[in-house]
Amino acid sequence: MPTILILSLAIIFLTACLAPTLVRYLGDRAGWLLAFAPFSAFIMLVAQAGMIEAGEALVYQVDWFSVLDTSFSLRLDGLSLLMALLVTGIGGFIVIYAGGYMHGHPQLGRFYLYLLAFMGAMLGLVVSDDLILVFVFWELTSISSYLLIGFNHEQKETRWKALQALLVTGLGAMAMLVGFILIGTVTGSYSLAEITRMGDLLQGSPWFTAIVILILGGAFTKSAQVPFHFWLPNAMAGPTPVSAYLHSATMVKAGIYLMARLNPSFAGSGLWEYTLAIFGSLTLLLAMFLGLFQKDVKSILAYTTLGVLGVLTMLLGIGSEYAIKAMVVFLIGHALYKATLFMVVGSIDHETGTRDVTLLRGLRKLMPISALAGGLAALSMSGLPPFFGFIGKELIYKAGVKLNGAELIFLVVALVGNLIMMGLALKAGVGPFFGKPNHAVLPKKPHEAPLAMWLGPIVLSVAGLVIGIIPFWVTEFMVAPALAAIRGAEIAHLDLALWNLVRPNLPLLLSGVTVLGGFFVFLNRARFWAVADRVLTTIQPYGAEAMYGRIFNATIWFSKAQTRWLQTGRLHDYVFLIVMTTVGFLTWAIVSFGGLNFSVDWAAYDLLIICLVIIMIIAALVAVTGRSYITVLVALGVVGFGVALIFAYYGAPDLAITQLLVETLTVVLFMFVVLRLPPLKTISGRFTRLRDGIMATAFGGLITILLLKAVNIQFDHAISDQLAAMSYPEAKGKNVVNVILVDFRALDTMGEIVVVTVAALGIAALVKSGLKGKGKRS
Amino acid sequence: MNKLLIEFLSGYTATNQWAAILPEIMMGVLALCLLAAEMVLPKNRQAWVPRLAIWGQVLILMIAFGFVGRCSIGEFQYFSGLITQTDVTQIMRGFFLVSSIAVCYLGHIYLSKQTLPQTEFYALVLIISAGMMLLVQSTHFVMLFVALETVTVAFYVLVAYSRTSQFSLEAGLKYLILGALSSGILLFGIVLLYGIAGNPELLGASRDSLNYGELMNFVILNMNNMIVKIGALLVIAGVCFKIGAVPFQIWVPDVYQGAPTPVTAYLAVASKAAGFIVLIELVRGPFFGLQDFLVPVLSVIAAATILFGNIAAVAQRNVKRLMGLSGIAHAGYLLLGVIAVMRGVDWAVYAVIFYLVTYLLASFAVFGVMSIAAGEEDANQELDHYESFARKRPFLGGVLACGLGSLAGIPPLGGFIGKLFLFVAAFQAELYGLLIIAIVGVVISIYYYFGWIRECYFSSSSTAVVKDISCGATSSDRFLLGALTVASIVIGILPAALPIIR
Repeated sequence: MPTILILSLAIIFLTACLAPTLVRYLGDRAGWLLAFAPFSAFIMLVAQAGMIEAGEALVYQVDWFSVLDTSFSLRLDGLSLLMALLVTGIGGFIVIYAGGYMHGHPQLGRFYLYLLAFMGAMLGLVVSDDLILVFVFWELTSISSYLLIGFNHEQKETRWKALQALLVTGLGAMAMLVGFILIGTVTGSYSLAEITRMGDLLQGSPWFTAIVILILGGAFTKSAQVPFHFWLPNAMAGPTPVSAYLHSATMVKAGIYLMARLNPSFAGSGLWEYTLAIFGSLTLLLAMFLGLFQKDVKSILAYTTLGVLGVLTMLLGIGSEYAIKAMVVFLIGHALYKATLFMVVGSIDHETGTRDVTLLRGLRKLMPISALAGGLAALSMSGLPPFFGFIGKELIYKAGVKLNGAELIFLVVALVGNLIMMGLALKAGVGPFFGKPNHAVLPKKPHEAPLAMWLGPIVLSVAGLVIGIIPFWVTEFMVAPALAAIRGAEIAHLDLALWNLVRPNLPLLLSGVTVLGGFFVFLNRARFWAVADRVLTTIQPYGAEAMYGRIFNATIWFSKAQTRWLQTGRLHDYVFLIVMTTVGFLTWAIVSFGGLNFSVDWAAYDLLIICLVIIMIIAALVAVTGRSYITVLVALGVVGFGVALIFAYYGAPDLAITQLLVETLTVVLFMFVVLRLPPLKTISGRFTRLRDGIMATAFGGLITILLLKAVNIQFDHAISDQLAAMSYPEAKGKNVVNVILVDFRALDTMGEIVVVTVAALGIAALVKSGLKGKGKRS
Repeated sequence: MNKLLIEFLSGYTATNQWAAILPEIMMGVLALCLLAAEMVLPKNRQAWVPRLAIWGQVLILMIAFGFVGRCSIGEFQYFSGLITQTDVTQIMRGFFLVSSIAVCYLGHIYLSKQTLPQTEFYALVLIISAGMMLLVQSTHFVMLFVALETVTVAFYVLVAYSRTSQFSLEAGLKYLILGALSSGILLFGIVLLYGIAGNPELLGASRDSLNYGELMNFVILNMNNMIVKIGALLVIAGVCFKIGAVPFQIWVPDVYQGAPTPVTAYLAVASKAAGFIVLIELVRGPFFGLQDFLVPVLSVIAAATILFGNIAAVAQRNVKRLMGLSGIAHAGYLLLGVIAVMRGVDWAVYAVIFYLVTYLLASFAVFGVMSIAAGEEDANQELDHYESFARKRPFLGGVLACGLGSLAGIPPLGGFIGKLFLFVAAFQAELYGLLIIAIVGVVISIYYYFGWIRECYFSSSSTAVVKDISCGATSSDRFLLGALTVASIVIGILPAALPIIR
């Protein structure tokens, strides 16, 4: 039933649109109703598990736009199913939780709109089969998460962080889009199912390196890998249900999902595997290191999420069967316990008013259910048996011990990472509930959270335990098909029972080391807090975030600076810029195409003309430097009359007469105006005048060169000769000009007469209305 | 008269099919009718003038569509090669009609807040629309220049239309002087081409040396002639002024800010679109032989345009200047399409048109909201005025967000598909360097477009005292803006709804 896919998407998006109305009528109880959408999608998708396990994929396809060979195609296979179930299942609990957490918030309706839109986008992302469609949903998740992170927009800080997340993921997404277009160009298809079968073609293409880098640009920014990791802890600015959702199941996993999805086509190439493994392990180490010093529970969780993302990327890079198996199991386990922990932390924050781990103590008596959920989740995160987290960690070590040579470094990284992660898990999930209570320092008097806020955590954390004890259903119906999809292989039977893993071998020993080390870290947590401020402020200026800030500020500075330099608002400068650019382009064209060699036939110019030109040049100089209007006007007049004389000299008396008349008229008109103007003053400074002088010389010189080149052009005289020859025999007129005007071009003449008449009428009307106005006033 | 001459003249007039430019003629007649209507109608019926303008254009649009629908797709030359009609020009005629209808509507909103004469505004808008329709059809430099000047001169008036506003007058003066300068540059280029192509000593010289077809043959035969290259360069420079490409973009922010908002919208959308179609026709026609020379020039211009537009917009707080500067960036993306056309990717023409259509829908939605939200001083619209805008006016806020999102190229809005097509075209043309610059530009644009959306939706305090936004939207405002937004979304989800690219 392929329509299930479009139906589950539609149900979530429609509910999103209805959410504001529902909240208006039902208040925060609407959450229980709205949760039906994700849960019903969950049930519909679960029902497909049997078919997926049998190795079939659910495909829904309609034509979209054919010029790029893309279609609106959705496809549900093992990996998609796994992700879709996490998105909808955890999403449902988050919707319920949000109703309690945001109790009485005036904009709860809008919050649900964004949250459900995000959920729909995420679901769409994991089930789309078309690269363009993937990008569409990818961007939708970015936008909706921007709205969610920035939801508490009263603080400037929050808005800045939301924007940071949007810009970083946006940059990656655009790179990814280019990568997608490249893939489409190389393989001729945008369908993921087809692309994953064309690995050889892709890896053999000269574009392969570019494709990998561009796609990873998208995946790394979305999944917050080094050096783009900084936005994720900052995204904590959003309300807690947002963090729980963004950081457990969904948005940050989108990058992981994409890498896993494309893994069949890229696996086997050193570039892909080593890039992933190295960046993944760097992310893990950095996240764990920074996590040690955090005091805000939410930040601790954010850094552990970052670490988990690093682990997942690293495992994908290692790429062996065990590694992928470990990755899938770890991904499920993480989604369950991290969502729980975030929600529990949200409850603590909600009930006590603080998230500072140095203040939170012994809450277990007051908040027993939250304490239970948090404890279970923290144990699962620590990787203790019989929790699901344990299976994931065991598989990591199993994959690790199979490595050889220098690659063993990844095992060490995993060990260190897991060890610290356990410490952080205890710090965040267990620490606040145990120890000697000191409730006096808390801003609020704590008590247990309402039902809506503990239901999700307890269900998800118990699920983590139950799946750990009896993993059969999950491994058979979710892990195995997903594994097959990521490795591009057939679905195989998995044996991940707990008792198979608890055997005295090296991985178990490593687990033991992890537990001891993690506990050690937990006990010494206060030592790290003591130096936290000093360490963090020391390294802060060298971090990627500082780099981001510098680029950001530089862009804004540059933007302002160029506005000051270029957009001065002075017409003078604008004209200068345009003319100089034209001059630049022309000079470039003339010089690079050999235009400087022209011949001047000096014999064509006799003494009279040369004298005339010299007089005109002097007059022009006088016009520029003149100090009174009269001088300037007379000088300009000399230039004009000089032109007229040149016309006359070369046998164009009619042109000469026209020029003479126009020149006289302008000078006279100018005189009338000038008398009413204030005296001539030099406004511009020496520098501006020099600059303008250079511009004028350059432009004038250039035009001269062009004219000299153009003189060589032999113009076609055919028309004028023809007209002259035809004027008597055809039009019976001896004056050629008259014949042209009234005969050959009679229509033109008529048009001109009309224009002149209309203009005259217009002037008459203006004059008349002016007179009328005057008459009224007097 | 002798028979030879009659035959000669009738040969000349054989292609004068006035019916082919019926919509343009009707636009001109409608413009005159408006002026007459103002005189005839009594004072209290003056509101009929904008209605007449808008409904008259809707009628012309319908006639034009029916007219186009009956024509088979192909290439038809009329008026001895002065104009040529292709499927591209037919789409663009509809484009200009739609945009002038929208401008008339925005003008109606704008003028209701001002004490300015009304009728001339609509008449000029109609004349410009007719001029642009002829402009894109012209395949002869004389026709091109006449149509271009008709448009430009009318724009000089419109930009300075708000006579009482200093900003508007200053913008008008700047546009006039810089526009005249660029027209001069363009004309100089045309003259050089005319002279050289009419030179009988050169191979392929033509009597009709301003005709695109003739010129194209000549240029292919003389592609290394320096005068040809310089002429082409000057013509391109003149067109670059119209599309606002760097370094001829310098007028854009000041003029966009000073001009009345509807005129800004008109400049931003229709004038730019006309410039691009002219540019495409030039590079496909007369300058076809100069690709090796023009592609690097245009590539440099495109890169500079994208970077300049986006970076300059980052720090901008005045929304009209912001639209102007971001419009420069859009011109840069569109240049990518033009360059792709030059590199032989023929369907890139349609990608450019598609992009223009999505740009039209999104821009008019944004400018429409701006017109409604603007106070009496039209030039003074700052980002700060939009604080909590969406909370006060949820509908207008939604329209604005969709419009800006589409301009930023966010899926599933039309602007995204437009960018996608352009980028794919650029890919097929192997313009990798430009593509990277375009992508950096798109990311920067997210910053300022979302800065505006953020101003609308997020505010620094939940109980901010919102600056009063002068008036709300009437039901017809809602209809128009809603239609533009819905069209943006539909095109984004189903690009096939716009039968430009199949």
